[in-house]
Amino acid sequence: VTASEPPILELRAAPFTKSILAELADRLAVPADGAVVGFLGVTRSSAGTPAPGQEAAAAEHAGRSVSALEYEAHPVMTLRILETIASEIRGRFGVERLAIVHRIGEVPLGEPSVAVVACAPHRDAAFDAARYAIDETKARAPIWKAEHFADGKVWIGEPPRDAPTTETTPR
Amino acid sequence: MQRELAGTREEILELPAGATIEHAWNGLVAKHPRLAPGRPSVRFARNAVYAPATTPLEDGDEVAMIPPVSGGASEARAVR
Repeated sequence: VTASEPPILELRAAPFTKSILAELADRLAVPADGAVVGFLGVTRSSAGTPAPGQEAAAAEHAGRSVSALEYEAHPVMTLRILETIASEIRGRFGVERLAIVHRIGEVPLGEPSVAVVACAPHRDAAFDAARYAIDETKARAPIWKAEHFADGKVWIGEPPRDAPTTETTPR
Repeated sequence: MQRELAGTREEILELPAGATIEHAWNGLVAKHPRLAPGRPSVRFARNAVYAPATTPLEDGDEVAMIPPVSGGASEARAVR
C-alpha cells in the first residue's frame, strides 16, 4: 500500500498547472498499464450558459470577456459523489487507477480547473473511464462556477443530475 | 448563488415532527424571501446525499440546497 493508493479524488484550493497530468500519471500507472488517458478542463474567455435566474446578470455582461472563474463546492458531498463515480468506473470499465482533481477558488483564464487521469492495460477502458469520470463529475458533483467580469459575476450551469447516467456504453 | 442571495452559508431551522425537505425549504424562504424564485432549479440533499423534496427529516439532519452546478443534467453527451 502506497500513500497514493487510487483512486485519487481531491478538491484543491491551491493552483495546479497542466503538468498535473504527468504527476498523476506517475503516481497511478503500474507496469501493466499500456494506456494513460488524461483530460484537463481549462478556464476559457467565452461565456457559458447562465444558471436559471442569472439571465439578467448575464445580459449585463454580454459580449464582454470573462476575466477569471470562481469555483465553490460542497466538499463532503462532492467527495462522496466522486467516490461513487470511481466505484461505478470500477464496475463498468474495470478501471481502478483513476484520478479526479478539481480546483476550488478563483482560477485565472487559461489555467486548469479540473484534471482526470485514467490508467488501464488497454486504451479502450482508459478512454471510457476518463470520459465517464469528467461527464459524471460535471453532471452530478455540487461544484458551482461563476464567471467573473470587470464589474460583476454570473453563476453558470444547470440543476445537477442526482443519479448515474442510464446510458450504457457499447463495447 | 443562493448563498449570496441569502447572505449566509447555513441556517438552523426548527421544524415540526414529520417535516420534509420541502418544509425546510419553506422555512428557509421565510427567512430569506429572495431565494423563492430559484425553487424550480434547486435540488436537495439530505446528509450529503441527493434526496427528493418529499423526503422526511429527522432531528439533526443537514439539508443542502443545491443551486445549478457547473455542468448539470444536460452535460452528458447525447451520442457516442
